[in-house]
Amino acid sequence: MSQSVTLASSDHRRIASAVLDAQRALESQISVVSGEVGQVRSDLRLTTDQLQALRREFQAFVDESAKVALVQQSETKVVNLKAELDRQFGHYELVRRTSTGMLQAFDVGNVSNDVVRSVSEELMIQTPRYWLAPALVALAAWSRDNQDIAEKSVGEAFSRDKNKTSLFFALVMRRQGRVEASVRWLRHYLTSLDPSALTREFAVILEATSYDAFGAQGQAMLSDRMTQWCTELRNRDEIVEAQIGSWVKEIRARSQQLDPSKYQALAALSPQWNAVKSQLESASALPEMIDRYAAVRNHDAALPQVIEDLLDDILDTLVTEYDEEELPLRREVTYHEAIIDERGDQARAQAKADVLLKALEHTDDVVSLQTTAAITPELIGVSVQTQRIAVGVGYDDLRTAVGRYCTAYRGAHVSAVDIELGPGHSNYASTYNFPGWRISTSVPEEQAMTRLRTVWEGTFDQIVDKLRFSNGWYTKPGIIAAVVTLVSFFIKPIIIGFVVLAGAAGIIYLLGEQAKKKSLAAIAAVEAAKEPAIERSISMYRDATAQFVDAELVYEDLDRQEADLLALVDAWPTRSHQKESVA
Amino acid sequence: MDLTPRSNQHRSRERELTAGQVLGNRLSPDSLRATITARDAEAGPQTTAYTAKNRRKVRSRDLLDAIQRIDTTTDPAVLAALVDSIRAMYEERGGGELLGLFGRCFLGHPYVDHRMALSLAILHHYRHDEDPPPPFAVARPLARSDSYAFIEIYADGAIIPVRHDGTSAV
Repeated sequence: MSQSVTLASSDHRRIASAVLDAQRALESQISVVSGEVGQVRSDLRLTTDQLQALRREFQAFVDESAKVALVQQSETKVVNLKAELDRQFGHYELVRRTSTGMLQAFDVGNVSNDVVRSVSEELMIQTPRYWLAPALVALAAWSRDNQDIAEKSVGEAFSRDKNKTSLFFALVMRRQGRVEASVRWLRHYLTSLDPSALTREFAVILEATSYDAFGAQGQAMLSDRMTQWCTELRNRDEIVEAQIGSWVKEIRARSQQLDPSKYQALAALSPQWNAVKSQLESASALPEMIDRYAAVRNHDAALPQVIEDLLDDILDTLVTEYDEEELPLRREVTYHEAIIDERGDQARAQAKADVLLKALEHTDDVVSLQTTAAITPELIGVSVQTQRIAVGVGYDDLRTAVGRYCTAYRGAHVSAVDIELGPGHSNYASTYNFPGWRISTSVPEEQAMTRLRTVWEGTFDQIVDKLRFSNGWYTKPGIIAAVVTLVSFFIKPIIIGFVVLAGAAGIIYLLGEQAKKKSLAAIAAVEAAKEPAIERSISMYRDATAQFVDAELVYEDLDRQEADLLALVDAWPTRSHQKESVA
Repeated sequence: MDLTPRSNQHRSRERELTAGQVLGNRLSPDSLRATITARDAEAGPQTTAYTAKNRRKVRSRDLLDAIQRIDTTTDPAVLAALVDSIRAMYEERGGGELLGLFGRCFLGHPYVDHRMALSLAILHHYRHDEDPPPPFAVARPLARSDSYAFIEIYADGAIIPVRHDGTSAV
């Protein structure tokens, strides 16, 4: 009996030693695996970071390439449209060049009437429907005193385009020193006009007025008529509102695109980023407006000394700029050029094109035409000198437009934004189930950081609680061991039951110790990640708030320039003085 | 069918409110908000060309000075007289029914802006974490701008920021 007990106890020792060996081996293997798991986790974090960065870059690339594709498309389209313009209307060019060439030939007197006659008649045949061809035949007939042909040709030109023909002959007469005839043509032209629906060539009148091209008599008539028309039209609220609207669009079209790379953290973390971006972009139009219109104000081109040169330039403009047939194609060109200028941003291109296309409408009222001359002089073919005068005429509209534009974006100004660190704002946040946190930039930074730390600590406390070893762990193996031991007590000899009891207790103890160590290691790993996780979030929060402060400073700096823009407008040299009532 | 002109309806409501105040029932911000919401729900009187033109007139130096004195006046009787004179000057301008003025408050922390409801002679200063009632709330971001002396809020919904020189900014 005693031998069997000794045997049992040596067996027990052997079993215990074998279990201990197995445990050591297992522990060393676990520690190797744990090290590898740690490595994998850190690799995974790195990979996720890189993947997210790659995703952002890819998205930016996709957006950019869509814009590039659009720009390329527009570039091709512009080339094609210009080729189309040339194909359809290129032959007019010869007639246009011939018109001023012919007048200059008359000045010099070195070309025979026969040549002038044959050239003009040839052009008449080659360019059907074009108003300028019969006008040239009339000029040729006039030079050789053939009244019959001259009258017939003027009649034909007039029937093809009465406005341009009247204006053409008013200018030609003025050029040839026939003042009375010139004024008669001019009066004829003005009488046939409806000031609320002028065709585009009226811009020539604006241009001629700014250079005093029609002489004293013509100028007085133009000035009276313009004042009368403008006063009548400006009594209509909708006309004034339309001018203010045009100026607001012009200011909006000057707004710049924000470079988002300076505000990456804010863009990623603030739900109100779009409002911040929009207010910065809106305010950025002010310095652009100042630059643009200061250049117009300071424009100091020498006035042409010789009246013939001036009138030739105006005649050139009249015959080249205003052909309605070309407008549909020119509108398309304008839109595609806006896409190219705005580097593929469709919304901005559309806004810009809206301003430009206003200048390419068939008819407009005289007040709107002045505004167009002030905003897009190049599109109605007037000079900067005329633009300068037109800005002065519409100065009140511009002033109101600046006020409205600024009031609109100031009304939407956000002086504080929320910074939101969502459950996936960092890899730590995704790994440790960060619940998400949101705070306004109006909360002081120290206070916000304390709150952020508290949320993170709460998150880690929950994880540590879950990982912490609890005695409840023993319940399951305890029940299994109890059942096995109970069964073994029914086996003879009874000692087997005791051996099993001791073995089971030992195994449960060892497994329990192992679980405790595992839990402690996991807790240590989590605790080690805690500070870096909090630091990462705090750094993201601080970056975002710092960028918001920067954005606000830039905004204030831009916004302040409204006063400079208004000062520029108020001191406009050609400003027409309007009486302000006080109450 | 109710044939009373809208503007009269507004006026009668205001008389009731003013009477309530005289009887000691001070209007809470909530009841005021309810009043304003009710006003908003109805289509307000349309701005005529005449009133719009009057609103564009430059505000006189006297009016601007009186409005500026609101913050520095502490005596309730003087304040009431000041508000009366402001109201009279606005009536004279003929710019339509003015609900009140909203402007930056120079009392200092914690107040950032204030509302003066002319019809009710209420002056209320707001902290940054308080929300003014609806039509005045819209003016709040504008009141932050240095460019405006104050903001006029009209019964027809027009919000007009006024520059320091008394000109309308819109």
